Amino acid sequence: MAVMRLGYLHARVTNLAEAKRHYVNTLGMQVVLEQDNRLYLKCWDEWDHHSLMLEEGGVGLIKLGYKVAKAEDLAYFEQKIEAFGVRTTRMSAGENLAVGEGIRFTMPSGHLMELYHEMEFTNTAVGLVNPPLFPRHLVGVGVPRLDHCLLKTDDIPLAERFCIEALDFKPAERLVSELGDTGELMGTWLFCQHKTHDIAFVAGEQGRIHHWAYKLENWDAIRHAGAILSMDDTSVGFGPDIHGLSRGDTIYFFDPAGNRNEVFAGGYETYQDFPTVTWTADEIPRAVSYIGREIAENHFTVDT
Amino acid sequence: MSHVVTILPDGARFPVRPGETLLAAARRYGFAYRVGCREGGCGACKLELVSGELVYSKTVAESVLSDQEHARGICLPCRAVPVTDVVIRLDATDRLRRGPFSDRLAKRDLNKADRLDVPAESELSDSNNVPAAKLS
Repeated sequence: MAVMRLGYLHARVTNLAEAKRHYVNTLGMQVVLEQDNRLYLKCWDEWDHHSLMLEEGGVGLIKLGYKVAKAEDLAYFEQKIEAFGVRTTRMSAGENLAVGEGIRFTMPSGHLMELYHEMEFTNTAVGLVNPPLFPRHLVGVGVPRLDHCLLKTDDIPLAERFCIEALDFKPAERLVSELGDTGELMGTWLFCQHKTHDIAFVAGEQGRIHHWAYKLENWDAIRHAGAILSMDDTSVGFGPDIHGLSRGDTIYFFDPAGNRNEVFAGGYETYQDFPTVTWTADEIPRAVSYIGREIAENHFTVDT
Repeated sequence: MSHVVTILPDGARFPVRPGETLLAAARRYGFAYRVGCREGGCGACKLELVSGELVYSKTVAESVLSDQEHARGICLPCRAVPVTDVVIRLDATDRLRRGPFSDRLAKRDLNKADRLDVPAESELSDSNNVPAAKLS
């Protein structure tokens, strides 16, 4: 049994009002609560209380929350994480707004992660009985759901092994310097249930984040997102293009504090018996940018 | 009067609009160099401020541009707004790229602003040509 999904992400922004403009007016997230220097947000098709918490002061990732399916899973993962050699602490209900008890630990990649089972249910924007296809008055891009994140670490094999052994993730795709025993693992994209990927790592500085992504419906939605990003003068890093690695349609862009976001569509479903796909470094241009085959020089160097 | 930005080592010059950041003005003319998020989060666009004064109207994270760097004359062009004429220098490992009309458009606007004045020799000294005395 694996963890279930990325449920929440906490990040820092230099200015909360500007962040609100980006995440609400441009991306179309809904404000759940504004409290002191914190902003809680959710997407229209998410049923839990929030998926993003932004705190004013600095930039970059604070922590990730992955939800587990059953209450007893917390003890199961606590044991597995400790057995891997990573210290965990218990987190009591209410330490995070609207989130139940859980466990907290720093992954070998240097990122703070929490596992939890409960978050206050507040329903989607379309409801659960005879719902319309989407809310009638979506704002901007109208992102439906938070999807995954790509993290940086200086030890990809260790980060991958931790996710596999302690959290029951499986690698969907891997990037290696070359095939064979001498090949170095340079990136790994892992899933826990049925998504294309739920967490990923590329080589870089410990504890930093490359981006977090929102899942859109299809390529047309990516096109629409691109139009909104330009109208709002959002700094676009790369795309629209197709990832060979994951078959995802994509645009990368930056929030007003410099945190990178992605809108992602397409991809494929994964299963417990999904066979891992391998990309070799000489094909990085197609892995990242299948059409253009050219990677923005800052795509892998810039993070927060 | 418009403030003029000079980018060393090749001496590209262009005026900035009131309140406009260094990077926004450069991009408006099609001048480009190695940058990152353009939103103050990554520090990839940091450069040496050779002369002039800049202000930061938006908050800059200490983790991106530290007080020590600021004191050493490092600036963050995606956030820095010139309040005087400014001279900045690209990193030696980078080079300035130009759009098809960059210099022509910049020259037109410098002319309109009556700022076609020849920059002081000291402003345009190449980074690779620093007098030996300054290095000691």
